Amino acid sequence: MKRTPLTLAVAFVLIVIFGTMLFFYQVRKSHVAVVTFFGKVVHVKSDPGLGFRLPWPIENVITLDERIQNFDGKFEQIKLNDQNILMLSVYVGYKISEPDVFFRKWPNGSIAEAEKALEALVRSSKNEVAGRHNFPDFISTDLQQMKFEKIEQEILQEVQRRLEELRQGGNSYGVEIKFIQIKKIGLPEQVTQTVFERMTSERQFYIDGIRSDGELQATRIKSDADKQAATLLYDANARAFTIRGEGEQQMMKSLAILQENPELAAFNMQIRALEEFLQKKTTLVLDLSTSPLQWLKMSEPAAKDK
Amino acid sequence: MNPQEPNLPPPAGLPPAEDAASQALAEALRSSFFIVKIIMVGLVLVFLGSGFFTVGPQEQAVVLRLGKPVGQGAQALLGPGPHWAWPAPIDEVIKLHTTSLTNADSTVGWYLTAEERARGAPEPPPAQSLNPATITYGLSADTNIIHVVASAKYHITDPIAFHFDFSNAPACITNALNNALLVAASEFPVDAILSTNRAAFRERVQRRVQELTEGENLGVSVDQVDVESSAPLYLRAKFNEVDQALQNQKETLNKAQTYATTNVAYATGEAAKRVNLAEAARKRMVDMIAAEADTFLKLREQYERNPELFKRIRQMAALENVYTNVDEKIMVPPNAHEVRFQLSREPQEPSVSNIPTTP
Repeated sequence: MKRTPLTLAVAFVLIVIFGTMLFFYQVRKSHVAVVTFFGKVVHVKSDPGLGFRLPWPIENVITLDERIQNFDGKFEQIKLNDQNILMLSVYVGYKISEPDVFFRKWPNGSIAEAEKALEALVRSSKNEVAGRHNFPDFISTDLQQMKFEKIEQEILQEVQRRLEELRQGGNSYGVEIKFIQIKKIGLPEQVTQTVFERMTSERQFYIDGIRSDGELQATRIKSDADKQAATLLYDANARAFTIRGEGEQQMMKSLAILQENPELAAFNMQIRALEEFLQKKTTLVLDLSTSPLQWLKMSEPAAKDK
Repeated sequence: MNPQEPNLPPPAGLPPAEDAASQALAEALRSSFFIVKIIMVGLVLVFLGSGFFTVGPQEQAVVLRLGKPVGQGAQALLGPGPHWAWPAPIDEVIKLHTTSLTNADSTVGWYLTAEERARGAPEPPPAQSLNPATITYGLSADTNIIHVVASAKYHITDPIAFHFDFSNAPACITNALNNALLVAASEFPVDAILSTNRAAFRERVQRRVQELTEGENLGVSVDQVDVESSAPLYLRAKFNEVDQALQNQKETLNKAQTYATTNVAYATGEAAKRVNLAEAARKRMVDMIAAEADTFLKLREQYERNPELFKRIRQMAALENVYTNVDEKIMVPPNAHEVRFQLSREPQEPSVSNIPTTP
């Protein structure tokens, strides 16, 4: 068979692919590559793209995840400054800041090994910082006294300080802590029972307070209403009395006229009262001697004469 | 491959049978090479065609070429629609969910785990104490134990940060929600969380989550946070008693208010009635005496001319009026020794003749 252009092209492509695989490596975004020369770190490539390498086993390339990793700390008891016991756990966000150091420090750049060591360091820092604070620094009705976020910041700073000390001592972990936040908070089991007993008595006290307060308020509302009603009636009576007095004053002028002849005035009033009194629903029993019926009586003899 | 190659003449000195075999072999090879050519062209087309991809309406995509994003910043993001990229291993297409809302549930603070809640597991039996290894809770500002749980809805505002800066961004959001619940619970009294100030508690949780996610540059925006709270199961009956007491208090106050309203309304009406009665009495008295005085002045002259006659005439006029208008008149005969009347009789229906006439 002859070496045709197609054969050459295929051979070329295969050589390029094979050569690329042997001499190049790819770094994906958010990852970093550590290149070792017979096990010794010679180069770190942190920008994404292709990198050159000598074929294995001369050079080896290990890729590390450069993104922020996170893990949860242990939920455990901490004795506070005021001798109270609190249970705390934190979650931690960190990233690989020195890939070559990280690779050398932890076997094959093992994230699990690094987190194990970091967890111990965070735990120690958390206990130390929390132990400097009192219970009301975590939980309090006084917001001025509460230092929840400040304590988180102190733990972060303590962990960072210790990592820096390790770095300066040539024992760097190769990581950078990005954030530490409290994830869980609680009380020891036996303390929760005491809290429940206190809460029960507080609830009962609250219930009694609600009941007595309700009755007190209801009594106050009723007595206020009674007072308001009595005042209204009292004012009305006073007003009525005043009105009647005004009426009597207005009557004086007419009475002065009537007093010019009291006998006539009394006669007129009696006659008018009689007319009004006998006007309705009245049965009148009349004797024929009553005026003017006596005139009926006088006419009887005349009738007999006829 | 050269298509003329199989048509080469047979080498000199070979018998004709071998020529035939060689020709057959050459023919077979030619056919095979042709098929291989077709397959290779097909493979190339398939290879190139595999680079087509579609970005959905709620997605964006980033193309990594040899691991490096194609484009910088927002220009690296491909919007919805069809796109093409070099097939792997040259390009890698990463699709990012951006506009749709994503849900995150808190994993601490409740008496059931997130998984138990999701599958609707029953509540655990009330216990006199809480084992922190199995049941989590929050501590309120007044140092009470309270169960709180939250659910956040968020959308991704910076897909590159969300996907390329965090190995597990959803876990970070969940932990931010957990932290926000504990911080908010530690700032509110238990009754505020359970009933009296739930809105402020929820807002505090949302604000804290937003602060944390922004502080960590997670590339998300929290749109909504829903919060649920519960008294410890062991104390739930006691907390319900408080609610009942509050209801009873409200009822007692309502009754007192009703009493007060009724009583004051009655007194107001009664007061108005008394004033009106006094006003009417005043008017009646004044008018009556004024009318009397008016009558007095009209009749005085006649009276003074002959008082006895005047009285007699007035008396007779009054009697006429009375006799005319009374309902019933009974005449007692002059020689009657005894007259009997039935009391409480049915009143007579007024007849035309009994209707009083105006004097």
